Amino acid sequence: MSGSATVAQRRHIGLQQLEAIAATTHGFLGPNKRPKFMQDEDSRDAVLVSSCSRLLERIELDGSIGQLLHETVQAQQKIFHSGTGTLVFLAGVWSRVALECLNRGITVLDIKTAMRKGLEVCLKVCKQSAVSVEELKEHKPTSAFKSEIQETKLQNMDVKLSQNLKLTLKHSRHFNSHDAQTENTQTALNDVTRIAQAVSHGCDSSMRLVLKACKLQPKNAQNMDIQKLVTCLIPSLSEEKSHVLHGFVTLLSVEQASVVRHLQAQALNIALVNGDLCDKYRHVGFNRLGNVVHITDCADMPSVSLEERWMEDVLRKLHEFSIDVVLVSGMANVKLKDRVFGANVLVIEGVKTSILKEFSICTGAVLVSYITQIDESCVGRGVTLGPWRDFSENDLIMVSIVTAGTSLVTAVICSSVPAKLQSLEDQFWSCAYRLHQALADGKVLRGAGAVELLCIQQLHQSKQTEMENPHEGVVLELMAEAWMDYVSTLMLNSGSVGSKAEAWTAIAHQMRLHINGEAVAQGVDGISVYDNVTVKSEAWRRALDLVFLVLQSDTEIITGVSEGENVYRELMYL
Amino acid sequence: MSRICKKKPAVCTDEPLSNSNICQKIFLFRNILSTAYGPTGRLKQIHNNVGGHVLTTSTSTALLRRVDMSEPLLKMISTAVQHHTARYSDCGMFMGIFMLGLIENTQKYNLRTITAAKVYKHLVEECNAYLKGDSCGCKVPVDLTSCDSLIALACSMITSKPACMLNSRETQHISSLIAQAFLYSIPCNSSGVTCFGRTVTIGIEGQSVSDSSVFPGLLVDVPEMLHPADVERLGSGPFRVVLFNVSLSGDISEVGDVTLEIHRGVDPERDLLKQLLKLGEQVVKEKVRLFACQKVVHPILQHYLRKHGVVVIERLGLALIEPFVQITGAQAVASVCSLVPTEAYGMVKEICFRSCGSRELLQILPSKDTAVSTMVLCHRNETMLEELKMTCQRAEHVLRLTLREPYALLGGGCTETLLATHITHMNESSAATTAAALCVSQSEFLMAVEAFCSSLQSVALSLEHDGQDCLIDLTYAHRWVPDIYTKTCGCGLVEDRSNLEKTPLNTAYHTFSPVSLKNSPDNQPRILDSFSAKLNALNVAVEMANFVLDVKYIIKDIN
Repeated sequence: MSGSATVAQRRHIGLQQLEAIAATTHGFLGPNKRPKFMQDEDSRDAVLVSSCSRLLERIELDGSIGQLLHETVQAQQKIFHSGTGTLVFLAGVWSRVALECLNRGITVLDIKTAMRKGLEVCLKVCKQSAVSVEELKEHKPTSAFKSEIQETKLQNMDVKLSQNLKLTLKHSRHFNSHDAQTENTQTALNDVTRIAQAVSHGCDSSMRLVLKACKLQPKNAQNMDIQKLVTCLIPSLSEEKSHVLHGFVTLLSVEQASVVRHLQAQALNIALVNGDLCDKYRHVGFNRLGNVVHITDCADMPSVSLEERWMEDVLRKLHEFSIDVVLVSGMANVKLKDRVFGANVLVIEGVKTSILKEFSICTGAVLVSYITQIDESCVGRGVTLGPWRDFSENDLIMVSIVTAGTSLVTAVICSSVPAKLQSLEDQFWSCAYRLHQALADGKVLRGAGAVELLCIQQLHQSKQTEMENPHEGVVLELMAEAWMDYVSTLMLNSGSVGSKAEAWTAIAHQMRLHINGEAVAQGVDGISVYDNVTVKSEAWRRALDLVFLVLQSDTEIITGVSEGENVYRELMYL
Repeated sequence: MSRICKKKPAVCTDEPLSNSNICQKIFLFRNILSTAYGPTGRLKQIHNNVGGHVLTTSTSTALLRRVDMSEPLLKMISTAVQHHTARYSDCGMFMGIFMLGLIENTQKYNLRTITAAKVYKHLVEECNAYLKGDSCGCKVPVDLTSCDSLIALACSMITSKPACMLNSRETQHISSLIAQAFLYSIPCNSSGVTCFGRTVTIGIEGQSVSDSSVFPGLLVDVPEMLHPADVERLGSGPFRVVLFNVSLSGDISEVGDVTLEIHRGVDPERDLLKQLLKLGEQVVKEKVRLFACQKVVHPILQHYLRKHGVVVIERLGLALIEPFVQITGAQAVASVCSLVPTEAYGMVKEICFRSCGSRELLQILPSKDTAVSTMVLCHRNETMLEELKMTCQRAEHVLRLTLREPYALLGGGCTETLLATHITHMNESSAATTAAALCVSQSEFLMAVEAFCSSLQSVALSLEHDGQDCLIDLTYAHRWVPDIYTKTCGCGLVEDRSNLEKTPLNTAYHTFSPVSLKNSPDNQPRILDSFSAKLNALNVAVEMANFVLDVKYIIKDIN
């Protein structure tokens, strides 16, 4: 009989657990991430992780607290691709604040009210100290990004020249207005470069890739289209070789090189298959019969198998509609792959559905589940293969598939250390999302702890104002201390101080300066680093939500446990 | 050779309530319920033993649905509470705590079960008479001509579920959405017998609560292959609709788990697809513009339909079938073998894209007044969204119950303290006669009254979780907390004043008849409970407690 068991958390073990898990991730805060090696005891595999979301993916968290933290971090990661370090750090230190309050005999309700007020104060700081992205223009880009701007200028020059040519031929009196527009595009791009630098968080090379990708997308858009970015990872090539290409780039086996060579510089027809390209494949929701017996009453069995017949069918269809490229979201039948080489058809497996959809929009192709259902209207046209590169040492070739009007851009990320590829890809995405978010918000926050310092100051100030709740002062004080911990960890990780004690002195000094009338505006390091407004405030909110969920929980109930199975200690059975 | 296994004899437990193991479990169960009760109730984290999804909740419905009980008695109690909440949507915790309190108190006072049952039955009748009567001091009329009491009722329900994690602004927003959804569900301009409409609730994770909203009609996920241009191409409505509730995936899984002999040369898959395409041809010919299916639609059929300008919605799910039928008037077609009968077609007025926060949804508007609306709820994380969705559904149901009995009870524990005081006072003077009428001794009668009333009070006591005292005032018999910044009683009806005498709830005090407060428009309770739900919970709790107390043997078949 299955019953349920409960663990009562009278001593608020949950908050302690949260604090402990969070403490392991302190090295991930700030621009100088300290990666961790994680080794699987069973398989002896080791993985390099350098972000909270990857770390939590890897640890086995069987308790409810770990699960909740994991869910919260994944939700933040899914939407913003950044801010998880802050989230986990705050969940940890705020758990400590809540624990300390409990130890001082403050009720859960009072802790909740006061901490919620503390968060409101901090969110107000966020709102008020946000700088509009226009203000960033005044900062000069550092040398790392100068080349980008020059490149932009050159490119725009080309555009200008060609436009001038057209204009002189036709409406010459509109020359000036058009020129101004080109001028605008250029400034816009320069602005984007500056914003990108501001939110690069030390990942300059990744951010440069993002910028290059951004430039390949249509210029008229207000923001980059993050949905149209793709990454392609290439091991054993040095990191400097990373670059971006227009279109969808993928790696193919070296056997497919001859097909690629044959298809170069032609307008190609494309088919999009949503599913596997196999005779046994059936669409999702199709239930196969378990027991089918095929019977026959005639002795002469057809000599060709079903698979063979299907393959003939597919090849006939491909030929009939002159299809050159087939993008498949799933797998393709191995025998078929061999056969289509001869027909000079390129079959690419494992293509994400979002990419299939983009090709569908740009080429007019219709996604089909079965290649055999294809008709004239399903075939997309006007696809070309870009120049391909050979990585003979890996037995791989790289090819880009381009169509007119697509804003698909692929970032080709290389590393000679294969273990770093994952981190580099994550870095690329977090840079892309940070830039995207900064442009979407139109505002950024001063980074390097500047906003957090303001929070400390504001918390101190609101502590001195009216209070309905007698414990509010204590709670706000503890929250300010939590921020001190945050800023000092940030300083320690960035290497600007040698120890936390040193950091605390530096922060205290900053605070005193403020009391003497100077504004705490510049970050502790004096570097112009900026953060996203939405990402930061959401991370703060989510962290406090999590702490509140845990603070208010007193019981963990495990279902499906029977009495007598003595796996857990200290369990009570229902 | 066959082998015969000897059956094990059944295990019998006599006097289950005197078994310490069972008593311990009852105590644990009561503890779980009472620690989760009310706006400051502690949350329970429920997950399975293999590290599955964590559910954080303090609602009886979610809790009991997930937690399995090993004892038949506890199972019975849990089922009773679940049945109650399924019908009344509120007061499940009240019922559980009160019922378990009655069982424990009966044992504590060492009452004979037969006596206890008789007296409890008598007392609950008195409660019913008092609560239904005109002189009842813990009942307020719900004014259906204004939104205020509806919103107050919804708001009380939301604030009593802390796992929803709403701040006061968000609570206000959600409460008014619930009231709005409730008003949408009442059909206008109808005569004769009217039926409630329906509110469909969908959740969007990762967005701010303030993005939550109520829309008329039905909102569904945008089908994967549908572009805004396809909808524009439809032009203006109304459109003909067809709805299938069988799978159109083209498989023959309906035959069940049997062995099929298929003659070579026969391809049932191909034949079924042919049949599906024949259906497609028919609906295209009969100018259907919206093709909906509860389950999967074969991609080739979908392709055919789309090519002919038909919008396809597949995998609608069982939950949406009934509201879909309601807004379109279509009859769900359950067969692919015959043609679609003309009377099965329905109508919609319009199909359009609708954005909610950053999410795009497809809105289907009915062609006539059908009172169907969709409540889109947003929250930052899954756990909190789950609790919010459930709470909103229940709150809307509670509002519907007010149409049957347009009353609400004082919340915040005041009803319990008032009722307990009233019952104690009533029975003190007439103890001798009532005891004689019930054929029990007077002392036993008084003890049972005390057991009953202290069980009621223990519900009010369960509202407090931070170790503070609960007080009762000796004039109106409302519940108070010794707090410097709350100036009113639990429900908000009585203002504190210096000469109001109060005493801790769990101590002895002289009996008195509570003074009734006259309701005035400017003095309204802040916290309200559902009248119908609490009344039913009270009755079922007593009946179940009597039943459990009466169990003499538990016989378990352990084979």
